[in-house]
Amino acid sequence: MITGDEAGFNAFVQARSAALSRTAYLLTGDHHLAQDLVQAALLQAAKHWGRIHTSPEAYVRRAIYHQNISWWRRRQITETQLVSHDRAVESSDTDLRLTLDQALARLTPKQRTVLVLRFYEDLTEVETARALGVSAGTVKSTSRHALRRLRTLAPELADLIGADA
Amino acid sequence: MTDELRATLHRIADEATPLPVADDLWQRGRAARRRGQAFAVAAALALVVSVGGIATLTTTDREADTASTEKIEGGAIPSRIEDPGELELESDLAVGRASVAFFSAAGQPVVIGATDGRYHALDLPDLSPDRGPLVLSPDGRHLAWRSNGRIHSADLDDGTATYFPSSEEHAEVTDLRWVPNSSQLLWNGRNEEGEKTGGVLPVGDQAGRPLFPSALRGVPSPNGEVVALASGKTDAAPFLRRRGRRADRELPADLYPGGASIQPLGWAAEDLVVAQAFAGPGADVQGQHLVLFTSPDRPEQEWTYRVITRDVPQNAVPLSIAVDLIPDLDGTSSQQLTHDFGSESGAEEGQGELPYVLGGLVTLLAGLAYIRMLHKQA
Repeated sequence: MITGDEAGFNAFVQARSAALSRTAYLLTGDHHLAQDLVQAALLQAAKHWGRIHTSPEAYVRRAIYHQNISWWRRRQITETQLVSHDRAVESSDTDLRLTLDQALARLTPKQRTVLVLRFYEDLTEVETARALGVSAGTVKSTSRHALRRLRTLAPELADLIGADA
Repeated sequence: MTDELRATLHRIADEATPLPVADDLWQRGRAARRRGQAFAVAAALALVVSVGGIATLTTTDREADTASTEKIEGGAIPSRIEDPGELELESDLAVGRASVAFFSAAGQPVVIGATDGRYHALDLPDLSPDRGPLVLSPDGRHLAWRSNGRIHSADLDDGTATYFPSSEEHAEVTDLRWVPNSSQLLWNGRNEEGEKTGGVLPVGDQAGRPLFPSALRGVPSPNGEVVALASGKTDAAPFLRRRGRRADRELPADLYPGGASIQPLGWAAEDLVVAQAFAGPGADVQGQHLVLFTSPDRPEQEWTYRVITRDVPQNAVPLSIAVDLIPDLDGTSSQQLTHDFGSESGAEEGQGELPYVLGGLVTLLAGLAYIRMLHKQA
């Protein structure tokens, strides 16, 4: 028998999982990891549904942001094969979308998350800070560094990002 | 200008094809919640029982020898490693230090708790459908697996998982191994051009030592001077010294008249290799089993060869062992290298100490009722 809570959860998943998946894909750059990220967040939502059912999306999105950063950062892993982390991405493809996708993959998870929240989710600096549990100043500086790094990694994106960013 | 960035991000996101999420998320989430509540109740009951000083009433002689009540300081390799059948998947990877990892016959990634011998089937993120290598660090605190070119590592103490994205160098990963101090992961695979490649990745904050290229061919010893190699049916386990020189270590012919295949799993000490051996009919020890033997670095008169355990799942090839849990050899053949956690390790029962705690509480209440009855009669 399906309870009201379960029906509510299923309705939320059906209505919002595609949008959540798009955000997760931007955060990870990988379909499978995006799916894992969304599923992990939804699992937490199901676990605490009684407490969060009135505004589940905010909870799930916060879980996605934090989980993404923790998957990458908690153990501070860096790959030794990367000779130069700031080396420009080779791009023979003139499609800006592909170039931006590749350059985003070279950002730190925190930088990437801040950019996605600021420019995809359209959150303000204060809202972004609240979602990530950091100060607005940190969001501002992280965003500035991320954009500067995108310009270094992919100079052809200068028009897209803006020279003064 | 950032409007264009915003628009491009939306185009990238819109082109992503959302993958379907599992349809049992609600059930799994609620089950996790119930488990959490049950463990909280169990913890409270256990506290009541222990404060009441009647813990002995709840502990039978059998339990004293089992995983349910006994914690082995630091952990140990279980004397029997069984296929647990299908277990409920645990999404919380913080199961603590593990002694053994393998894929069960049901295809689940299973680890065995080092201190309590309990079996845990883990819901590992991004687990490849073809399973692939599942490797436990020598200290039993990290678990690594791969999916295509991505290499994942989970910290079993705090449950955090992280991964190396696939790169030009490892577009596909076929093999993973840990170096002896658990600080680095060795991988073999193929690059984007399909050429064979290999490399080393640091794990966590630990600094790894430089390795010789030969390390990529097997399992390097703690000082990196010798590499234990895998072999098919053979009379002697192969090793590689620096500059690619081969060295062999003969296997005991009385145990394996027709030879055995050897898969090194790690190093228990500077000159002691832990391996999974397989011998066919006619051998004194048949099938899959775990062994410990000295490397050819030691003088032949000091060589030793010990069977760690014969009771391993025959279809789990190879097992992954936290080799640091193997005790230092004391020179006697009677030394126990493993621990008998008993049959209540969770392989059949699957979950929890709750039944025992409840049993203890019932015993407590019955005792109190009996005392009350005697008091009334008096």
